[in-house]
Amino acid sequence: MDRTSELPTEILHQILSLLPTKSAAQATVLSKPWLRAYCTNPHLCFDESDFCRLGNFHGKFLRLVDDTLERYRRDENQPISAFKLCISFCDQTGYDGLVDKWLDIITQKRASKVSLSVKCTSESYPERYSLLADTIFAMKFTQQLELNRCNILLVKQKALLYEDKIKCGNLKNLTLCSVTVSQLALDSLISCCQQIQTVSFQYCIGFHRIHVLKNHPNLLSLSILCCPIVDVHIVDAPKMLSFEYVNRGNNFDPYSSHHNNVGMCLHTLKIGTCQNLKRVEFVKVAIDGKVLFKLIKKLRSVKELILHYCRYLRKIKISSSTLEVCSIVKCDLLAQAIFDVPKLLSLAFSDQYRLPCLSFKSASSQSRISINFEILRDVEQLMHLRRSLVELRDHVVDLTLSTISKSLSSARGIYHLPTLEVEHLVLSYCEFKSATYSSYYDVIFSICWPKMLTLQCDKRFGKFIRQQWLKKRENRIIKCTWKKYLINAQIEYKKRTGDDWMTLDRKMLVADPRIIEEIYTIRFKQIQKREKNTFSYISRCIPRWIAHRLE
Amino acid sequence: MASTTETKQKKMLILKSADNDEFEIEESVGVQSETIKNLVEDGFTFVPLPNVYTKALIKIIDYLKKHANKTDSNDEEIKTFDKDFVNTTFDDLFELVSAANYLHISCLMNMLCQTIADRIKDKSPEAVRKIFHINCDYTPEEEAKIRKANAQAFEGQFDESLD
Repeated sequence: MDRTSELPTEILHQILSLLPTKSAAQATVLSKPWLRAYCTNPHLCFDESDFCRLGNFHGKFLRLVDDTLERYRRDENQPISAFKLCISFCDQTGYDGLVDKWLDIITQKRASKVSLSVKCTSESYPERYSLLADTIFAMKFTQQLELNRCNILLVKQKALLYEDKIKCGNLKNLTLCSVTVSQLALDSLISCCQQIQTVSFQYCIGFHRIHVLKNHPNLLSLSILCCPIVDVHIVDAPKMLSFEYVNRGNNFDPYSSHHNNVGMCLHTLKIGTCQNLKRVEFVKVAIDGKVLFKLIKKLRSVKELILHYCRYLRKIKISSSTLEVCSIVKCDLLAQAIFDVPKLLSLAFSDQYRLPCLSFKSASSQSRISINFEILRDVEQLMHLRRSLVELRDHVVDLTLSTISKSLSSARGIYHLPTLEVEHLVLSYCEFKSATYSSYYDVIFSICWPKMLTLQCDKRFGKFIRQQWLKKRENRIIKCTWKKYLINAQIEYKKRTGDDWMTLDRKMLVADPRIIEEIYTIRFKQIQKREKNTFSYISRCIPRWIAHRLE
Repeated sequence: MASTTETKQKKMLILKSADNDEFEIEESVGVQSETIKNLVEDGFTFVPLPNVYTKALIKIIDYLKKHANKTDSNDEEIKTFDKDFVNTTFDDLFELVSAANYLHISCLMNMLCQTIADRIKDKSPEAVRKIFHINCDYTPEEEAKIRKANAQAFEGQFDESLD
């Protein structure tokens, strides 16, 4: 029985659009329904990389695309709703405006989704495929536009701001990736797209500011990744939910005066009325505490604030009545942080050599603080961490440690400190080939006493815990505190990451000693009489990069 | 329209497959299907599905239940589930794709079409015909003509296996 002839043509269309260009063209010989589906597919997708194995593939690919589009153009009743093209070029002259011509056809056909990706085979940076800005401005019906590795060429250098010629007012989602676009062309584009919802710039050059001066009633998110933009000004975006600025910014010295080398970094950010802005992310931004403080005051509904690698931050004072999640990563100069955030649920520090001095003016009883260390290098860092834990003793603290340096496992004098309780300790990757379990756990338990301990269970550890546990009855006196901790705790395990936690008790282990070899993650819960209701935290409030480590 | 939060009791729906088997599911699970959602909005709680057979419906209900409980933390779990879900025979995939199309579950449609496309992409037309049991309705002359028209697509090596 032929299954495909029963299927509605839409399904064949969908399958064809997901096939590589060449396989889709081959499908035409399968049967007449497939040929019909191929010829009427409104979702066109052409990818030159499917042709790479053939000789003279470039010319063949161009002919295939050109033939197909010409056929669509001739048939007036044949719509195109989506167009995706991935093409390579080494020499602009070889095209002779072919891509512009194709895009014109697409525009005539009122396609709503357009995606163009041009790979340059010569790898030289300025040699990007030049696309006429007018071609883009003419896209009256396009709602989604994605451009990759092009150079948007503005023929007329005169100001064409607000000109009638720009018809692409229906644009909702704009993504520019590795695109060269002039300030003027960009300003014209943005100011004319009143319907725009999401804007994303990645590795773009040619402009240094984004001024969203007109009212953009539907703008939801603005994301800037590695573009040399120094100035962002958003006047009125009432629906905006998220603002993201991520920069590499490696080529300046963070410790010298920042007047001279802000070249690559955002240094002015003006946000007018964005009553709904919920999420703000800054990665490698040259803002300092004062600017941030001013900004936070304006953001009346921000719920999530992310500060990564913001190296000018020395002191922050965050007061917000709405903030729930705050994440701070590698802001090395940060020495003091004051939080006046009554609704705070989750505060996360990651890869800070030392935690800033923290003070809370008001904090919710639900707030949970996660601290994440990639590596604990030396005793000094350990003592800093302990000091911070002392400061945080009234809070619920989750601690994640990946590795500890070898020098620590032989350090003296840290074992006699009073224990500090933390809620949950995760040892995400415990590699300690040279150290013994004893010295490793001595260090771990000198930092804190976890109410719950989660760790990856490798073969060696499995064997160790099995031995310890099975000999418990014969050897009743366990001197070492952490051995006692491990053995007297309630143990749960997972065989795979996605599984649920299962209980493991001594009887099970006696019955089947091999069970421990299949365990992937194991956790130990301290059984306490006065069990507080501490597990009520909401997991979504932990940033995703931490959540996967908690798994 | 009655609001779902009014009573604590969950609203239930009954789905009836083409083989006359009935399944009870929560309304919140069912409305991921546009077809069911439209019927529910019109006040139906009993949904006959004359184009969906029991075997496919059981799998689809599983899928809907899993995806109804989507949160940030069980992302990995759902990925594993999806992977297992599509790891089946071509016949089953087609059964599911027709059902998903009828029920208008777009995320499931995308996933199934992607799976089908991935599995046939490097195969020769002859192998694809066998897999789908396609009756070739071309005359040899017609087929030769089509092949000639798209000549650039028929160069290179093909995978002739049928799985």
